[in-house]
Amino acid sequence: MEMANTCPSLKAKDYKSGTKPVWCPGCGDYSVLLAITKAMAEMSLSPENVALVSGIGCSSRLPAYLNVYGFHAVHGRALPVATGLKVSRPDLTVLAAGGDGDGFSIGGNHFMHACRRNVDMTYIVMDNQVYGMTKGQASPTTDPDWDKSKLTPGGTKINPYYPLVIALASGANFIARASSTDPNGAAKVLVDAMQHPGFSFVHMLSPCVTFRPEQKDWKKMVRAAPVEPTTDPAVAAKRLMTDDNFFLGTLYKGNRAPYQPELKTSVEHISELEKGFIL
Amino acid sequence: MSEISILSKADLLARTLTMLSETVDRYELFADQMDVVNNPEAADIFRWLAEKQNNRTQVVESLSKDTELPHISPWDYNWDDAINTSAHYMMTPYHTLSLAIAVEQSAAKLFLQIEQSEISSDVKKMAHGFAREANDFCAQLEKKRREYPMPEKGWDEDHDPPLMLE
Repeated sequence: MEMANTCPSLKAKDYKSGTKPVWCPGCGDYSVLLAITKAMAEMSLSPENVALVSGIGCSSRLPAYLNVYGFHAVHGRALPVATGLKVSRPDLTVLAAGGDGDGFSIGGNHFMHACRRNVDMTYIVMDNQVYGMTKGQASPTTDPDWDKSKLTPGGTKINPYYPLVIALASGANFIARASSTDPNGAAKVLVDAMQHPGFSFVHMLSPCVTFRPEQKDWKKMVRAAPVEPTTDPAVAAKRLMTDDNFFLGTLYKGNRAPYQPELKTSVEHISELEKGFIL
Repeated sequence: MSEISILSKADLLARTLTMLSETVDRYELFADQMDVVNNPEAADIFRWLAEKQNNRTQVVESLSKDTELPHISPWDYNWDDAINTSAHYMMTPYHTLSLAIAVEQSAAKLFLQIEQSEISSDVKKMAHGFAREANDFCAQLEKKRREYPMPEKGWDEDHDPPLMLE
């Protein structure tokens, strides 16, 4: 990421906008917002050099609550928008954010290809294993036996999606998990993610206290991963495949060079632009 | 807090300012949350608490004005009692003040631990002063809490819940 144009005098609260969040009291997303602002303050980022792009859902309301550039994109489409922004403005620190439904279902294909493309940005998925904004339906990461939704009586009976494993297999250059129950620890992970070149994926556990009240127990279940980040994808694969979903910290740091096409100031024809996206 | 590494007045002042900043952030956050769910009684008390902590922050800042304070990264500072507090949308002023009392008790305990550690006498004296101040504020909060009735059993039962699982 670019470290020029920093602003060391800003505190975490200076990165918040005047708009007050309307999440449910106790929602983990409040702490994620706090962690993001703390990370930005720690890195002394100038707000005008940062952009956060989101999809649709409770967590995707984030851009409204931040005092940086924001774009509330359409459902599942945060990553293509963020990719386009970073490719055309490599000087910016670009973050994308959303929930598990937005990122792994509606935007699931974009997730894989963003990992593969490895553009230098950070993607934060606030995972609460439920579609909260539409009042509690099973999402890709919901356990198969969760039967509280009338749409899935008896549970989905479908294996949940393992985002960290998918991210590694698809080529993400940085993979970490953090939790809203530890906003300071989450801030550290976010700083690591933003500083690491390439596509950084942060799986952020963020309980939905309204539709998944049992997730309040996540606070007791999360713990620091007892390992250092590895640069070896094979080691990371074994680590992530045997992970119980509650280990926190940076789990994989790859060393692939980020994808950044050469920029032209103007193009004669759209086909010239398209050439730049051929991998 | 997981670990205490206070060796100088500057360390103690920096740590204290960070603790105060955390509590202000939390109280303001809870006040906003209570506004959203139309719980003005709890919101008002959280704002009052944030103002009180801001006043204390100014006092500590004035003590620090000629001192270069070390930078404390959020993850190097882990005062769990302040950052792990949580609010309920039906919480009463009694609950709100109880939450703040717990935070102050934790702060006083922490300063006492610092005072009892192997540090110079001037740092001990400052830690003692901060502990006393936290205890005094705790007493003030307890007095204020007596103005409100203790919530009855079932205070959090909502007979018309705002959100139903579909």
